[in-house]
Amino acid sequence: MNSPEQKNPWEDALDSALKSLPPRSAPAALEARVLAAIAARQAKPWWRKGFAFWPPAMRLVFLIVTATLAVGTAWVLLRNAGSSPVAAIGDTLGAAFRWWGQARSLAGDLLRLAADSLSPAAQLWLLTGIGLIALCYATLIGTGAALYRIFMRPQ
Amino acid sequence: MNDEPTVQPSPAELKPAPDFTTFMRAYQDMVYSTAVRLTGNDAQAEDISQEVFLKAFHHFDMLQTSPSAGGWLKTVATNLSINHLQRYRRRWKFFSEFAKPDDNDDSPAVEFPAADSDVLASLTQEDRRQWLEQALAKLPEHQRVPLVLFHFEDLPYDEIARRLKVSLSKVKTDILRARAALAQILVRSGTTHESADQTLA
Repeated sequence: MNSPEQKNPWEDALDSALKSLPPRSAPAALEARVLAAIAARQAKPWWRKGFAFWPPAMRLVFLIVTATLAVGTAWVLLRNAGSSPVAAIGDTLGAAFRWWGQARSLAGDLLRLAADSLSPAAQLWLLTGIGLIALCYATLIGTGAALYRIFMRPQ
Repeated sequence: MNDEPTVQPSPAELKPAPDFTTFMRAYQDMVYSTAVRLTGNDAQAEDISQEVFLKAFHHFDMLQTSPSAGGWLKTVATNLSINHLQRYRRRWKFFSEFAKPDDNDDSPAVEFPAADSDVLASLTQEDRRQWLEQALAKLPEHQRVPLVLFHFEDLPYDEIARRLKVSLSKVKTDILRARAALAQILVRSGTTHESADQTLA
């Protein structure tokens, strides 16, 4: 194949032709769209805008409140933990994620109950059904992807 | 990618505009052209231009006194267009690509048309403008984007590769193929145009 480094007579001709192209005219509606978007943005209350757009006083209040909350939380943790803040954090996290252990235990109980109440043949049918549903789902996605690639692929 | 470059003074740029509407009128064609040549889609280019001017409005205090406002707008328009294309490509990658595009391109050699490149000079300015715009729009995205960045934005190959997150060799090959495709389209258009003229005569 041609080397990209190789100079071609078309290169300079195309370069000057492309550079000499005048700018494309923007649609007439662009200006109105931008001004409407600016007006809509300005009509939003300050608390619905990004933090950078908040009034300086509100930003200061927000920072003071969040800093106070952070310091207060740390103080409560340290006070309850005695000499070990790491243990306090561990206890807090453990309490927060206790539901995960309970959920695992519940799922295990349900599976054991299903295994005890269903005969081996019924279990086989159940697993086969789940496998078939998964296979149908994968086939649907695969067929959709193949059809999209064949008929709808962006040029 | 950071879409908003810092504004640095450059004496060659346009003078600052007194208000935002005037400012927008001065630059909207340039911003729209940048977006439409990169995306190849009028509606997407309009959305991107709107986003550029919303960012400009946010920084207007700084931009209205900056002589490099035009450069800032062009850079933001380029970055937003590239981000838009990359986001779209990622979203549809699963559905639109069977295999990862290979940098080691072993497809057939690039062939430039046998006709002389002077065919461009022989066209009227309006014909040339129309055919070039149409030919650019017909190029596939992976060829059009590096070509536009190279010829319109004057970016070097390595910078284009960095921005598009592809290898340097792929950028060079895509630009070469884009030039060949553009030349083919222009020669075909020129031939059609000449035969039409002869038929009319």
